[in-house]
Amino acid sequence: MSRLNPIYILALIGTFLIITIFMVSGKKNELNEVTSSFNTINQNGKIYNEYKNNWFDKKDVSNRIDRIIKNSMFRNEKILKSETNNLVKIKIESANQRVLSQFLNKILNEKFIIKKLELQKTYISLEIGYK
Amino acid sequence: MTLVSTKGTKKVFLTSNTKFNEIKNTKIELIVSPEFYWVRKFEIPVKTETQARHVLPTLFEDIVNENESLTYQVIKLEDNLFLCFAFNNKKIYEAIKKAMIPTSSIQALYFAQNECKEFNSFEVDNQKFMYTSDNILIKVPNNLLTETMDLNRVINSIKLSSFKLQIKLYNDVFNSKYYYSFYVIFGLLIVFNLVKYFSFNNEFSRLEEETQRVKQAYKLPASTIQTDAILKRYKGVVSQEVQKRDAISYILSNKKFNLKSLELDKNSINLEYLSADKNEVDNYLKREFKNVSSVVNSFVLKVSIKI
Repeated sequence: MSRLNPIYILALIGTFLIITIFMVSGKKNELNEVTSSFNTINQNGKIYNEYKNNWFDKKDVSNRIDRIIKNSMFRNEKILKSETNNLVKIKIESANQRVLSQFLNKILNEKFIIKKLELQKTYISLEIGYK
Repeated sequence: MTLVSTKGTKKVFLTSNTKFNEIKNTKIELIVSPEFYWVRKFEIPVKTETQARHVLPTLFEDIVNENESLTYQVIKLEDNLFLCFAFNNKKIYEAIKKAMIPTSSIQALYFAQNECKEFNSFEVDNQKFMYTSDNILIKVPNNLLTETMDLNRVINSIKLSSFKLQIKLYNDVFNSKYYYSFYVIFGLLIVFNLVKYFSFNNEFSRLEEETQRVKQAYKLPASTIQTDAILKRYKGVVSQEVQKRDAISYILSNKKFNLKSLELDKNSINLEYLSADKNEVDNYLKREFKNVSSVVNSFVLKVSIKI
């Protein structure tokens, strides 16, 4: 003799099924959120890394400035460089406008934070910041 | 028939006329009248009751029309001789409900065929029953038997057999085959969902670890708010630098004007032109910059630009 109606068992299994559907749905939403967060962090990390290394890294900026100053094109020109904690001041004097133009191009093509810039017929004076 | 509430186990002979008013704390053993089942002796060339049960639908086919909804039970009498029962589960269940017997108080159900053997004939609920010459209990018309014994007087002294009705005491909405199909489908879906859940969970944990690894690799600040603030500042500075370069490039690209000097300080540019036409210079610069002001001072055109 069986008293337990199978429809109750079916209802119980159905309830489990609904619970698992909600569980999967909830976990899927969590996964979507964490995926989106991961993608954002990964993308921001790349941008952060690129900016920090190229624009705001004191050592790297200083090295690149030195490379320009020591370039053979400007070997015969009068170049003054003074450095503080936060910035570098550079002045190049030349009667040759072509040399001054090349120097300016090299500076502007680099990823430097130019705080001040003065162009005259015979010299270029500029301040490059680290922050 | 009416029963008043008592304790213990009661034996009840279930007929189509049975009626209860009240039953409390009473366990009931139901003896089911022949009205609710078919019984036959069959010679079947098989050894076991299970094997015999498999051929019963075919054997009962000639006797009963509603074969599909029947349940079969078998008792082995001799070699190849079986006492076979067929009953409609739903009809007995409805008779129990009609008799107002709560299913929770029913302890077991028995075929009257096996339980009333000590009486040749008897009467219950104004219905008369008798055993035939081949020991089959049948219901007979009332006028066929004149003097019969009232079974209810002796019913509690009946010693019940161990052969019970395998009945389902509920309303079958679907055939049991459908239930099994549903169980299997639901079960598979549950397993599928659980597999999916654990797969998502693993992926979730992996991504969290990966996020920490990325943060360390790029040396990002601990919180997202800090990262966003620094990035905003960086982007602002870089954007300004690009603007400065674009502005200088635009100013220097025009060789027509004699530029004497250029001074860039933060976001403003001061220019000095020698012997230049003020309107011409203004027009050229205003094409690129919104905020341009100029003044002529003894052959020198001084221009101020906000970028």
